[in-house]
Amino acid sequence: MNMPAVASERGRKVPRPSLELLKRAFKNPLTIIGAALLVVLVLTAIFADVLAPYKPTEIAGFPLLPPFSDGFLLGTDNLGRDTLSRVMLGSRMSLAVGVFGAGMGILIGIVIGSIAGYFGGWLDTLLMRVAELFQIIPALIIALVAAALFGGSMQLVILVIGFTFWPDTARIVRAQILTLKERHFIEAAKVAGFKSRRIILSDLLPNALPPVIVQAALLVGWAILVEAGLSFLGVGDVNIPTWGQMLSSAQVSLSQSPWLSIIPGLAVVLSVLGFNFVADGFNSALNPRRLAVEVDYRKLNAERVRKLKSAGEGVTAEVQTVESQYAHETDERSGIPQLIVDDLVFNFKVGGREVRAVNGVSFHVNRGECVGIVGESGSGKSTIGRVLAQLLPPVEVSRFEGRASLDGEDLLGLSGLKADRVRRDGISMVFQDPMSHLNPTMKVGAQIEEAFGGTISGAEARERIDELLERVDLPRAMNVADRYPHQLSGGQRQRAMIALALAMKPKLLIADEPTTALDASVQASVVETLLKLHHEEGLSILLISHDFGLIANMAERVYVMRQGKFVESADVIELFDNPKHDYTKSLLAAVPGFKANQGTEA
Amino acid sequence: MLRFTISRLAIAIPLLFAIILILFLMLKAAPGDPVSVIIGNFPAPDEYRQQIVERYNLDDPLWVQFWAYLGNLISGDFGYSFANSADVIDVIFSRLPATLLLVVLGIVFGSALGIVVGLVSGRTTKRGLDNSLNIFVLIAFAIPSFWLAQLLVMFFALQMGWFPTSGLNSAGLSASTWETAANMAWHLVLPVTALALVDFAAVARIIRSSTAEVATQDYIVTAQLKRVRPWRITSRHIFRNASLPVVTVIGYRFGQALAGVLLVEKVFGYPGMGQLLEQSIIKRDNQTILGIVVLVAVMVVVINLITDLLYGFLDPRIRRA
Amino acid sequence: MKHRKLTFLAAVVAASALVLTGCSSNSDSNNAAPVEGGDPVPGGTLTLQINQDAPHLNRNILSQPSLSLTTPLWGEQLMDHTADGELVPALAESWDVSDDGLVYTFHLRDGVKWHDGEPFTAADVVWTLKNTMPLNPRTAAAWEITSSIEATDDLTVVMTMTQPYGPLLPLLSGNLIMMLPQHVYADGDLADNPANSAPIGTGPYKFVKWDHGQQITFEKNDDYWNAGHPYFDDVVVRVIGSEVTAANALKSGEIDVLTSSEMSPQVYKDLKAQKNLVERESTAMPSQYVLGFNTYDGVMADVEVRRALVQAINREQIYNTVFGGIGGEVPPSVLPSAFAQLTDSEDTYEGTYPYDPDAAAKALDKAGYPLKGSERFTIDLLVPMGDVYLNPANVIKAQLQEIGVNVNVEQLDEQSHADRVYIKHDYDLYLSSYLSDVDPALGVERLYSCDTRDKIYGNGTGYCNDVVQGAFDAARGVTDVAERKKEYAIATKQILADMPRLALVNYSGSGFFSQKLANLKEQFNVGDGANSNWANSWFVK
Repeated sequence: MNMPAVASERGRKVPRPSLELLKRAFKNPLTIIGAALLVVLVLTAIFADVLAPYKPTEIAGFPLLPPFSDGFLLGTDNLGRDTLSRVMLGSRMSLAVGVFGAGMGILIGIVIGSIAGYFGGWLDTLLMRVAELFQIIPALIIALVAAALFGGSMQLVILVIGFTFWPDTARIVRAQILTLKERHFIEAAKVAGFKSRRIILSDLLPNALPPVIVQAALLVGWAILVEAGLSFLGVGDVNIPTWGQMLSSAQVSLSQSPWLSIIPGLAVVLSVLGFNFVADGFNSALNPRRLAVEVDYRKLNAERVRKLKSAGEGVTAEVQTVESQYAHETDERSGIPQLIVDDLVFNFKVGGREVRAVNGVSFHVNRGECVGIVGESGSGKSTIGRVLAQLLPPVEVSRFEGRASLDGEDLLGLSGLKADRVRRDGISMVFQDPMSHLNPTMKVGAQIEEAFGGTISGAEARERIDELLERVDLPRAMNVADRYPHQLSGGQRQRAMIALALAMKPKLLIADEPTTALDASVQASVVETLLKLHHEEGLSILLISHDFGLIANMAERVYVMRQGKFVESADVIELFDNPKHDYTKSLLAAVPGFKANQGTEA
Repeated sequence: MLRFTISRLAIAIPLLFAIILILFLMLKAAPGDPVSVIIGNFPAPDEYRQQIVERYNLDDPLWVQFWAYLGNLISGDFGYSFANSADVIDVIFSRLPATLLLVVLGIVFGSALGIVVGLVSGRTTKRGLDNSLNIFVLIAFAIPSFWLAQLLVMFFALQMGWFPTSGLNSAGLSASTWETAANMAWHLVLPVTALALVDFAAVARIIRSSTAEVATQDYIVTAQLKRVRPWRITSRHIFRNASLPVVTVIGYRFGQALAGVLLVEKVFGYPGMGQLLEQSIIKRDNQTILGIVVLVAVMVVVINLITDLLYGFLDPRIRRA
Repeated sequence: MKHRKLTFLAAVVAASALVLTGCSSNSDSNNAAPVEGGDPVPGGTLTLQINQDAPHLNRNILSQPSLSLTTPLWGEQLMDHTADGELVPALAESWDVSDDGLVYTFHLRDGVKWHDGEPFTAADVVWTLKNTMPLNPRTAAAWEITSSIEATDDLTVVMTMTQPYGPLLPLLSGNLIMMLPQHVYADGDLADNPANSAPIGTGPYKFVKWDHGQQITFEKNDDYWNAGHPYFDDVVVRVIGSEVTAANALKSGEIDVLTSSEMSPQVYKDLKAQKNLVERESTAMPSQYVLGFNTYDGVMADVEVRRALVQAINREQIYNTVFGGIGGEVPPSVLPSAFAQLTDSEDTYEGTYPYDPDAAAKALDKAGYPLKGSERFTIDLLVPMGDVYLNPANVIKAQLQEIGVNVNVEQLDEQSHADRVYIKHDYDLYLSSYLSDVDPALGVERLYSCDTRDKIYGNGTGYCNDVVQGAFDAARGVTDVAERKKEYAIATKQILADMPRLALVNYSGSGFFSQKLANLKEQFNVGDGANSNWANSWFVK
């Protein structure tokens, strides 16, 4: 999503396994509960000998005493051995197998994943294919056969778990390393001539570690379950009490002494839950998951209306005020401006930090005009487009003020469906990256058809779609409507995106960096298409870009934006010929080979 | 796609060969006396013992036995089961449907519920609901299927008497097809529930995170631009893309479920492959053990190929001409 | 500390014995009263249970416990026996034994038909005995000393031995040799005959089909020689591996009968509490659980150590905790009490080695195994799979811990267990069970005989003693009871002195039946707990 300010916050910054991560993880009550469970588990396992009232093998009382019997808090088993002591001792086996089994799997996974990710090529392909097959083969069944044939032992159970668990870790480590490899510090390290082993160990691994930690916690939980399952089936050392064994021997007592099954079962569940909770806590700390909340514009707008009303201004009055302010801008060609934005403020919070994306901007777009907003990334220019179309990513809005109208109808102050309709009928958008903005699993035609809003369908819709595609220079013969986005070239995709935008019959098209993601060779032709629509069909365009070349080529008037505010606005030729603001000058100076009023090639 | 499939197979076949070889060596190295399986638990007369060894070529060198087995396998002959006095393939096929029924129903019901919960959890705007569902899924992940099976038996079969405790059908049932099917369904409720739990948890987790992931995709913004209604965004744009990983998970779960079913079959005394495997190991019915593992491996490879193809079908990006 | 524990243990044992015997005296039973006699009601499907499927159903050449339940349904032998061991006619209406004990003459029942309609004749008997006796492990020894078997007419068979053989008639009535139809088996290899899996016999029920791993179905034999019998239309034998599952199935009425020679006390108590069930004490051939000592090498090769350990093992506690003190007994001596008529009861385990852990500890000190820290030495105890073995092993582990002997229990599946014990002798103690069988010559003897050393399911201890072997040989070669008794007494004395094994428990298990089943008393008069032909019982209306 091309929201510079937000994007930098959401960027692929891989947090180091640091105090910061721990803090964030432990803000989550789940992590705390999970960690508490694990502390109990680990302490029990370590001090089982001291804590247990009896030896686990000792026949200490009558068989099958129920819980809370005198001297036997959790009762006794079928031989009269103390259940509490056995559950306590059982934690050792579970924890040992869990930690060592999962540990082994993770170690193998890290080694193989690192090698595959770092070296890539055929080695990567081979290793990943092997990992895939390891996940596919019924390793557990083969292991079970082995255990049954040669007798079970803890070592075997650990081996089994290790050898079945590594592929997941390997895949995660590989993916992490692939991502990290892209980062330039690795490139820098390579240039500096470090040996690959050192790069893996010192730079890549520590960075790839956090997700592996999450995976590790999950795997230990899984390993405990597998251990319980295997000892339920009779694999393992019968001299060491295990929860699985206890569950297995409880099988005969289900109706008479259900607690013999319930107690060790709960022990398993709580231990695994401990690991799961901690894993989940760390996972949410690593990848903070936003709820699928879109910004609630209705509520926001309603609030704004209420504020305005309490200030003694009505909604209509608001629009009129805006229009009257712009009355002097009215030109003979198009009457009052089509889009009027007055003193727009839009601030929001990300990760607790306030971002003042738009900080009081006013501008207008006349009917049939192409107006550019230019600025560096992070200047807030894209936010303006998103606010007008009300297509913001889920952020916590901290300040939202100002007024905007389209063809005399209020864009921001109205609540409810009417505002939706005004925007729907009035504004459409073209985005920077057509690939990501088109649904990969839907045909282009179907995606355009949705833009009709259900007004037409079937053959009629198809005809319209083909027309639209022709308008953006995608001839019928190419049959773009029946293709998926990935089957088109970058330029074709952006044209399809423009067709989709046009399908909504907009009064105003907001084009947000429409050529930035395209190859230089096709940029020009997309610009041409846009210009054709602008000139021949009189489409009003609000062009948002960092690219002065593009602006120069398309826009008639330009606003220069910096840190949420306009620093300069002028007719395009005037701006290029005679920039007034230092910022504008520095921007222009940065354009390679800039000479006043140069061509589009940036 | 076809090339992908072929390359997959090209690796799967040597793998299968390796599995057979390892297992074969393991079974031959394992202590045990197939003759006593045939004769029973009493010291056998030497003469009779010798007869049996000769009849089944038990004293052939290992590699002769291995190549013979492999040769037969290629021609579709899985060998002969001493312990069942029948061809291995017949023995396995008499149990396979019951197990597949259990595994497939478990995956179907588990995934269906998982998809619903995952979607709700991933799309809800109420943090509380999402958290509760998340905890519910994490708990489901922590419950061993065989313990759940025990609890289900304790409560729903023994206490309430709503469901039978074991088996696949009632004995001596000579009713119509529909009644037999209903009877079978009644027997399947508890074991399927026990088995479906893991599938449910796995799918719910995947859907929850992939839904949340897809919801932040740019094409959802495009859909919003088009003012597509929210439920339609969920059903048409989010679900379709978010459910893709489920296909892979299901393929992967299938292999795991075939192992997990061993435990559940044990609790319910269910007449499936798990019980057959257990019995075959106890009786050193080597050909049956080999047969089961080979068949399971083949099935899992095939299922994963199918899910690969299905993935390609669902995700046009992977599909190749 | 140690002392306190020992006393506590003793108190627990004494008290639990009391409580548990209290339980078994029917005070906790909610079971219904059985329906005996009355007018038979034909019809219905009887559902039985076995715990594992068999390779095939031909009992003559396969020794597997689950077959003893299915076999009497379709197959019949020359004679049968009552619960008291008295022989009763089956396919032979009568029989004579010559005074020298060498010639046996069997007079067959007239008008009996095979399930396929062919008549049953003396030729079938001759064929069956000649072809299956050498292959049945239990009758192979008898076959060695058989000189001829002939049909003198269609209904008379004469069998001649080269020397007297005590156990012959018990063998022929012990559900080992079912009469098989010669016309079906005449051609081809006996082991390959399809009739092994789809048996044709003369019994009250005909084989219908076998769904491997699930159930075997039989239907009523309308031409059964015992006119009017049986009453059930069908008999279905379900395969249910788990005891608990089977018990639950019995409670919910999915099966009608559950007889088990290794029923756990929990299941027993559970079934005992059911109102819709009837309990019948099993008269089945008891299984004996025996602890074998490795006399080849290791600590157990020292007879003093064996004697000491025996004194530290409290068998009452094993019986009470593991078996709930029901359905069996603690064997007083080497011969199972089923052979009371052959037992000289003077020499007993308890008499020779009374339970006394303190004495055991002292004996070990003296034998050169003093306590080092809290432990003297560690020994491996091998047990086959199953709680019925694991539980006694764990009790023994706890008991021997008291005298500083650390027991490492290893649970192996039956085949690996057999390999470690009988072939590799890689163990110190091993636990196994065996059927005491119809005669000591078949049962007990193989545990101590030199001949069965290293044979799987034979004598795994490596014990071989001339006195014992001589006495066994002599007892096998005579039919006179007093003579046999004398020989067994000699063997018993020697075995008790050497202690290669300790018999822990004789267990015949228990049987629970749906209260709908009528006339069980008559039904079980002939045969034993598991072996019943179900021709005399019916469902109460």
